[in-house]
Amino acid sequence: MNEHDHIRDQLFAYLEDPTAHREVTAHVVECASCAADLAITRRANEAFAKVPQAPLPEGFMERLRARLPEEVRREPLPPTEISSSTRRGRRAFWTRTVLGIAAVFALAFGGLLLTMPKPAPSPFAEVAERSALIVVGHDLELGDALLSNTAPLRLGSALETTNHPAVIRLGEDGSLRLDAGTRVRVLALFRASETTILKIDVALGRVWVEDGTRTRVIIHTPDALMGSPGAALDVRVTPGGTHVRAWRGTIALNRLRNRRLTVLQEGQQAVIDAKGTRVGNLSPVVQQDPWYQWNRRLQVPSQASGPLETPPLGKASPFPLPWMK
Amino acid sequence: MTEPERALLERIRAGDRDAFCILVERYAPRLFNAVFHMTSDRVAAEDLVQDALVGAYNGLDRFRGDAGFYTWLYRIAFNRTLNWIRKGRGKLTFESLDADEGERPREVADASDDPLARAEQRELGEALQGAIASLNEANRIVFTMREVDGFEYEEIARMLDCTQEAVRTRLHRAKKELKARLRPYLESEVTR
Repeated sequence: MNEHDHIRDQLFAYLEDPTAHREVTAHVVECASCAADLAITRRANEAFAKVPQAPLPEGFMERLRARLPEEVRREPLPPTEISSSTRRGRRAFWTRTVLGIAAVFALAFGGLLLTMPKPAPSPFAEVAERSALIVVGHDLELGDALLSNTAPLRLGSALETTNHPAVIRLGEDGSLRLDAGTRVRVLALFRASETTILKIDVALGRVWVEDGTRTRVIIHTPDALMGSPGAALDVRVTPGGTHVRAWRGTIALNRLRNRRLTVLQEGQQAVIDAKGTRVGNLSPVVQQDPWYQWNRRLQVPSQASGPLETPPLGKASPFPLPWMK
Repeated sequence: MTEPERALLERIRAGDRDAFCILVERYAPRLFNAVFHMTSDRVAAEDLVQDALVGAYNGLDRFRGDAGFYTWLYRIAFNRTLNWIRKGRGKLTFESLDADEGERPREVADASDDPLARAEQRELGEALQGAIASLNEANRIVFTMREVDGFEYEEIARMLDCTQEAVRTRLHRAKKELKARLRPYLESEVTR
């Protein structure tokens, strides 16, 4: 370390207490370069004092209030915070519900589930009611965010995009991209060990899933169930059938009509409709131009403005819906 | 006039949930800001702060009043954040990757009226936020506690269970790294 480096290493300390670093004072009088660096260091200190404030997420207090027990408990903190009688009842309900869904799903995706992380002894003890960052009007190409919101994502949540696509970030490493005019509903949301499993019902439109190691997204359409562990896929639901394109990873398609399982490899596409499941390879041109890259030009159906019905849990998909006719 | 903290605490102890919310509303923005800068993840920060506040509400009997209420809340949130980071959750997230895609940080309050200066101030603020997110966890935590939350060295050392000298060293490293990353912005500001 030469003399200049030695001086520059002390600049932050010097600004905190100049009297304790007299050699710096003497040096910067004669060294223009170190004096300039001192000015930059001072400016850095000024910037540190103005670190931008991260605003409290909208609805934070409402969500907090909903989580506080009505009666104040004065015993020591329990090992788990889900311990009030209300929550115990709710947990039992969720456990039964989620186990039921899991049983159905295990039949459909038996092989797929075997590859998932081994669940903890009480696999569904913690029902995941996740807060999701929902960025509406977000355009990946333009990089703008017209509106963003953090909202709780819970069973039965209905999400509808209007004139803009949206990105739903599921926290650690999962996201859903919804086209303009897409409607989805959360059919199941639970946590198995470290993995959050989200099952959505696509009522209309297109969903692009990008999920990672700790989030699994399962897509339910009128024609098929799709598992996407760590895969990126594009789903387009039309009145005539469901179109799927696998951009990354392997997609398991389970056709609802006859429960026939089809595995879609990366770079393949499939159409599932009344005629069956037809699989083909994506052409190189299509692969270079995935739908999600140009879907902001998608025409939004004008009739996609009616209320979104929420079916009871465990019932079949609510198709055909009015706007699908 | 806002209700004194002590009166609110009395009401909370008597079972008044609204009083807790009134008190928390005063501190939640600051607490969220602190945890956000430690995690660089808005979603995780909200989860952690919410969990900490629910835990604080349930365990209010443990608040003895020897430190301020905010400090007490901060310690609960801080411990949870530290556990979250130690479990490796804070390594790489959408939030840290897409710092400029989500909700933008607020402009600093005292930017000048000059639009150019304001734009530069905002640009510097965003660059600073990104640079803080890129610090290693230990340096980021120390920097946040000192520069964002304004804790004294002694208090930071106590919370991190280390010496004040270690805190100073970490802070110095963090500042040097941030300065290096922000140098293009800082140089243009100096030469203006």
